[in-house]
Amino acid sequence: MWAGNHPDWLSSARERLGAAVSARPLLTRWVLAGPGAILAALATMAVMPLWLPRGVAGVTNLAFPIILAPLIWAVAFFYACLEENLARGSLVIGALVLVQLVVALVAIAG
Amino acid sequence: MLDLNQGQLKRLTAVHGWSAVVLGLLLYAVILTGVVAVFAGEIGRWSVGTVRERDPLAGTPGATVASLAAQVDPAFLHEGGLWSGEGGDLLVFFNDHKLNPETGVEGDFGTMFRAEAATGRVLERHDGFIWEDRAAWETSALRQFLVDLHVQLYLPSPWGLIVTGILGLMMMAAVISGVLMHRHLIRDLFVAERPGRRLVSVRDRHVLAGSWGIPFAFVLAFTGSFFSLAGAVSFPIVAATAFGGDQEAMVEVLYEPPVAEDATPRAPADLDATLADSRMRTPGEVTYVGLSHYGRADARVFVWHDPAEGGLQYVTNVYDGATGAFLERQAPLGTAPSLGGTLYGLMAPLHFGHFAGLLSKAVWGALGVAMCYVVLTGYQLWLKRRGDDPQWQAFGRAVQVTGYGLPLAMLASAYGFFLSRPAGDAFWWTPASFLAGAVLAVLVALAVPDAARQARAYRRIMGAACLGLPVLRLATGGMDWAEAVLAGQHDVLTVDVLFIIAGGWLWLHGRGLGLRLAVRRAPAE
Repeated sequence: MWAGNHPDWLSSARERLGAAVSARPLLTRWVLAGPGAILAALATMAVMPLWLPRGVAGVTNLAFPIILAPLIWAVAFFYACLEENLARGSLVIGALVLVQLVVALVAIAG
Repeated sequence: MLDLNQGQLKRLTAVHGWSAVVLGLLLYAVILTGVVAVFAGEIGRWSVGTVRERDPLAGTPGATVASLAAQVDPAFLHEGGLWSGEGGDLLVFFNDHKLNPETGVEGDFGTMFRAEAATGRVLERHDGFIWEDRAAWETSALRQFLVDLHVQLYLPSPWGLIVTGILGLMMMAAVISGVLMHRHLIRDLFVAERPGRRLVSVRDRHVLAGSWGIPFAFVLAFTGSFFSLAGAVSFPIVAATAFGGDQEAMVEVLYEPPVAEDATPRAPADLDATLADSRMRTPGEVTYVGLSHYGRADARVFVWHDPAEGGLQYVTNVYDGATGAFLERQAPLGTAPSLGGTLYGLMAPLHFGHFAGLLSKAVWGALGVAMCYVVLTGYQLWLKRRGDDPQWQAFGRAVQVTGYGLPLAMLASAYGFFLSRPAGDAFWWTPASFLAGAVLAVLVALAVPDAARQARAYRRIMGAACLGLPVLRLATGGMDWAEAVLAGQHDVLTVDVLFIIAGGWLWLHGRGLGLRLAVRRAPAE
């Protein structure tokens, strides 16, 4: 995962993240599967109405995040439990939360 | 099946075990009360025991509704509805919306009537925030308490819903991790218990019951967490991005078909004719009638039917409330049938198990009991492996007290309901008696420390309580068996007989149930 041509700052950030995760693997797993999975599920639900089509009934984009909420959490939770590469897991869940949170905040603001 | 390595399997085993150990007792409470809540209708009719010659909604309630509408503040005609009580009574309400200073949120403010359907005579009238006073709209405090216990563990809203939602998610985690860990799912469906009281025997029982219950447990956990979290978490989050936080606007888009505003006063159409037309179009029983803008040109009538034979979903027919014209069969969500609407409409029948009447409810109840068994045998497995640790031994005793104490406390709540019914406030005494039953369970544990004798004592007490309940029901003014059979109210007889069978079984077979939960040192495997 760390191979390839990247700018120095990105490689350095990845190395620092990898080192931090390797130092506390159990804590990292707990954070990812606990608050991480919950935040990822909430953020995903929040942005789904923005990109899902409305459908013929005009409600598909609202119905799916509400109905699928438990499954969205389950996917994030089991991904956090089963991911072997904790640094990659942290990156995926962190990016999911941050990017979607920004999109949701922009949508709420206006 | 996923090909998992040693580390992943170890983590899944930890998720499966610890999620159940930490929240298993609460989960057991939610599942066991859920088994009872499946039969909420039957329990309501059994506990109230009022003679019903005919379902009021199957008759002609139009004149009664018109007469009651004339007795309320015209502003309350904005919204309303009616449904049948347990006997020949009809519950009718009209309301507007108003900020409730006590809760800080907007509530339904208006008038709730209980009226005799045949004559229109008002039996009770309540004004104010109509859903706040349970006695205004619920006839059976026992049913209300047991359902509340299941839905939100009798905790204040929304915290109770959030807790039961999290328990649903934990149950889903236990089911999914159990499936992923399974190496031999098909073989385990037919596993035979190995003899003796060994660890493998407990594991065989746990795996057998758990394997058959996988689809059911997943469906219940998924739909249960959906119901708990939808209002408390999902709606506000989706409304925040889609409607700038305006949940009312989202509810209108999801559930209320748009109607052109026309406040011109107009005499309402004949409600009885509307109901007759709806019954012709849809075979399922009418369960609820919603009214909107009663007495105006833009009035609407929504007639809800139980799922018809072979169907799974409720059916709602929409009528013009001023002309009586049939407008449409309402989609579960939005303005037209859709995949989202269909999935949404399936949530209730899959969770409540009432899509095929008493038969599907019995299956749901039996599978729920099997799930309780899976939780308890899971504890047995966990505790037998840790039998030498004094802390786990103490935890084992707590599991036994909860395992037997919860059904005992539920029986005590029924005693409280019947004893208070003639003169007291059943809405207060029913939960108070539940607490008294829980205290009794703890006292039994303190008085009888030996696990085997303690389990026998619990079963004997529960057996006696089950046997005494039909007698108490009759003694406190309940309907007798002859009257129940003559009135065609078989629920009364059926529930009484089930209590007598359960009581006799618990009393006579108290020794050999094999659900002894407290820790004993297990022989080495």
